[in-house]
Amino acid sequence: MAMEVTQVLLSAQSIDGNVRKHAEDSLRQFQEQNLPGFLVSLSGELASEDKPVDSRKLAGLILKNALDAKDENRKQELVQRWLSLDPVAKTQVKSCLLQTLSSLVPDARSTATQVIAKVAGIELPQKQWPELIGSLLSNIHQVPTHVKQATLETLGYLCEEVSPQVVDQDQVNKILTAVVQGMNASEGNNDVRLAATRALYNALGFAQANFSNDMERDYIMRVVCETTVCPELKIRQAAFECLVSIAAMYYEKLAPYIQDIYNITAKAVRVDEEPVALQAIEFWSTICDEETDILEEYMGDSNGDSDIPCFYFIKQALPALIPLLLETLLKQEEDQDLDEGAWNIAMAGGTCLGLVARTVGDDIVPLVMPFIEENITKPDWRQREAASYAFGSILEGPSPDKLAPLVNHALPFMLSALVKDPNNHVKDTTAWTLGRMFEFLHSSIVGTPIINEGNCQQIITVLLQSMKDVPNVAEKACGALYFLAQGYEDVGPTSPLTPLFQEIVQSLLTVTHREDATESRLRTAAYETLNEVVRCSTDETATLVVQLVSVIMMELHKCLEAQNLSSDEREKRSELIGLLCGCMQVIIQKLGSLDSTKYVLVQYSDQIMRLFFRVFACRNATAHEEAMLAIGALAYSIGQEFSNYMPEFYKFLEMDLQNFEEYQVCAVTVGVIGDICRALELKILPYCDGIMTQLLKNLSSDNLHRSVKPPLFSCIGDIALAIGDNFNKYLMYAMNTLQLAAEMYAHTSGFDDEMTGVYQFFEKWDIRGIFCDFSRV
Amino acid sequence: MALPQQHTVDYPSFKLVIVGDGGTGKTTFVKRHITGEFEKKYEPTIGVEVHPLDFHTNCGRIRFYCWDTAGQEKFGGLRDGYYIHGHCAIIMFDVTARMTYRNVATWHRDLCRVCENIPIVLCGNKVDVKNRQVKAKQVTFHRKKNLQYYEISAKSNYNFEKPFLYLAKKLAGDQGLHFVEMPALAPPDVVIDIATQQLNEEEICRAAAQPLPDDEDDLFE
Repeated sequence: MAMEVTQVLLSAQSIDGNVRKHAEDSLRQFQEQNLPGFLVSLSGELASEDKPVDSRKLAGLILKNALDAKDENRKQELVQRWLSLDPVAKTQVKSCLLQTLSSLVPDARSTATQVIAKVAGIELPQKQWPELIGSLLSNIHQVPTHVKQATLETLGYLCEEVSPQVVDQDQVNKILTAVVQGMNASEGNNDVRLAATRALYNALGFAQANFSNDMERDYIMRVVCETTVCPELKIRQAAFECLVSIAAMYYEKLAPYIQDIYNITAKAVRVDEEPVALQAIEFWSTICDEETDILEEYMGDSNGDSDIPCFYFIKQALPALIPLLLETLLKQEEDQDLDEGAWNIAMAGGTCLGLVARTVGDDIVPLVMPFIEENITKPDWRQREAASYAFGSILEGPSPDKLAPLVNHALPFMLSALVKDPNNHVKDTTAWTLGRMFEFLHSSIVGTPIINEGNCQQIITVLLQSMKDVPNVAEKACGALYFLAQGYEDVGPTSPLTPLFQEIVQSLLTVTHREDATESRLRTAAYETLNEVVRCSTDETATLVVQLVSVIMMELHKCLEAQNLSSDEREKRSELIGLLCGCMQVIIQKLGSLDSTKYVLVQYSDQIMRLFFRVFACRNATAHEEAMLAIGALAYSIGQEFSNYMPEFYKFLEMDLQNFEEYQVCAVTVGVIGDICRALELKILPYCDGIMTQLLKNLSSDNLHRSVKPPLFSCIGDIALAIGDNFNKYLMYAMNTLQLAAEMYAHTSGFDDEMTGVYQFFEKWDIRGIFCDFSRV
Repeated sequence: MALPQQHTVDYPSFKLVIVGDGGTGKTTFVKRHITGEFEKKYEPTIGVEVHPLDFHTNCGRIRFYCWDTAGQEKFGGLRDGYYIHGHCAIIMFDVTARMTYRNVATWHRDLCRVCENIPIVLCGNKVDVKNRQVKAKQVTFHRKKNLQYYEISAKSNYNFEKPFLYLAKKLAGDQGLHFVEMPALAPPDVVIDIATQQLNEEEICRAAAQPLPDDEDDLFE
């Protein structure tokens, strides 16, 4: 029954697409025409020691994929095919798989382990293959180390595939005993120890009963902890990954071991290599995540009860843990500030420090401040940067009352360092820390303001100067200014930023024109900050915002006029157009919210709409979205006046509603229609036939991304509100669609998002009493 | 380090496997580097597409053979069979679709069982979309597996070369390695159809007819 498949398997791995496709077609045909022969051939290939390793490996993976799928329906179909297969073929496949565990070729062995686990996942629940586990366990004691290694790997995957209820507890215990013994230092072979440690990682979920038994848990934990000091790096890392997983899965069982775990994690963080140290830090980050979740659940629950008690491990470990984490901050990599995604021991330590602050709150402050005070003025840049990073990391969690005096004390020094420190990395982190100070401690609700009449001018001056620094530092300075402006959002009729508004805006516009503004996302940060400054400004600066309209429109005009662009330049232009449209949206919303400036929008609306129509002609999805949002804001602001633009704008609405491929544009357009309904009310009526037709088509379409469906329901509600009784014309169609949606809900209760729109629709109908009309129809 | 039985070039080349749920932007990301074009229309990848991608570094030229795999299982072809001999990998998820982040663990598991101990970058794509569902703070999977994480956008080029630079450093074992020029984005062959060109010209005429803001209104200069 077996067929020669070596060459086709090798061809399937070719870089040449034609060769690869032809090979894949051959394999597919073989599978469809002769499934038993296909599976037997693949297992024979995998088991055959004289075949190339690449064809053996692929044979095994294809065999595995013939038994398994991520899609549940597809998976069940494949399972049924296997179960109904000729028993002789199944026996032959399984025999080849077990035989391959003895192969001297590591890749063949490791592939066989995966396939065996998949077959076990299918057969064991059916009480088939009863001898498998016994056979694997006997391998542990009787055979060469490479077979022992492969067997342990198999056991780990098997524990992942099979629920413990399917296996006798006696066999569960034997599996875990074998795995844990394989981890033991008395096992001399590193490959076996590594396989056993990884097997335990996979088996942790399978070991619930054993983790509930004190003696068994003690044994497992002792071996895991001992394995963390194994001489082999990979084994130590794998052991720590087990500890991290245990922290998440069995938090409530950790109390007896936490001191020992602290000792081994501390040693690993201080002296071990980075991959191990990162996981040692991750153990404590995971404990923080667990305790934060428990405490939030405790406070959120009206009963003041939680399924799992909080053991306050972080609070207990605090005096020893904090110095450990602070040490890590001094292990920065060169040029780390230029890579915002950098992940290394210093970044992991800072992340953990921030999580600790969120977990324990005020208690962290007296333990961290001495480090900051000691290092902030040191000659070595690493110490200054670490001090600043530590400060920024503890600003979320502790109370404002605790932090504000410290920030007030540190602020002058930080501002000085931001522009005078000779090291860019230090300035980068200092700007980030200032941003965190303003984000968490600067708002109208903070009792002791960190920004006051005395220092506001100085802070602004320093930030504006810092925005002339290298791009990554300037970007952080923009972020700090963003949060500073945001903090004044609810300040009332007058703001300390009012006298500085023009200077701030001018500086931000200058940043956007820098030659290097596209580096470190600086230009984006500058525009986002400008938007926030405008959004949070008071009425006092309204006349300046009016003048800003002209400036931004001119920028947008210049941008649209640019010619002879390379592909890269065209991309940058589109990005800039999107940013400018976003800025226009914020300005329009600001001016539209004031009676004294609303007239300006009416005055400028012709020019504004012309510019936006030209943006649409650029055919860039992101810019298109931003222009749409800005138009929605304009319609909302000028109300009935917007009807002047509907004849031309309607064409874009119609086109966008049909744009299923760029579903995000479609979703934004649906939202904008809602804005326009609220603006025009009855004047939207001439366009309703077209809009409703398309909305209903969209609702019934399978091609439109499902995330767009809820806004569609909401939009139909907006139309009903706008045109009142005239909606009767569409009522039957809308009700039919709603009924279909409700029926779908009954069958697929998981789609909660889908029903939100339906509820919104009914809510709006109910408010206006339109629903009563339906009962009369 | 030439791939066995494959085309070889006379400079180092590596097999880069790109995995992740369907629609997360894997193909767009690869093609963006090759052609410079952002493709708007979503067409699911069938099986795998292999694209050679060259970079110039301070240590010479290198090539990534980008194996851009299907994210949708029904088009998966050989699925993890394409990972064999992978030297490095990118796992892509969409920050606007929470489920694609939840599935990262499965992609990582499948990848590591075929390619042991290779450098992997986790990429959160589409960060320029406003309605992101996976906040940056919520991304923690890289912490569990010692992966590098970058937020990227194929649309706006945000961080678009970072994943390749990280992988190149790891594969070369040289933390000081850097790209000496941006990857050359070849301009596409531009064919402007008549209707589009006329529309563009109409827009230009219309704009020219509009009065520009007066200079004296321009308080900011």
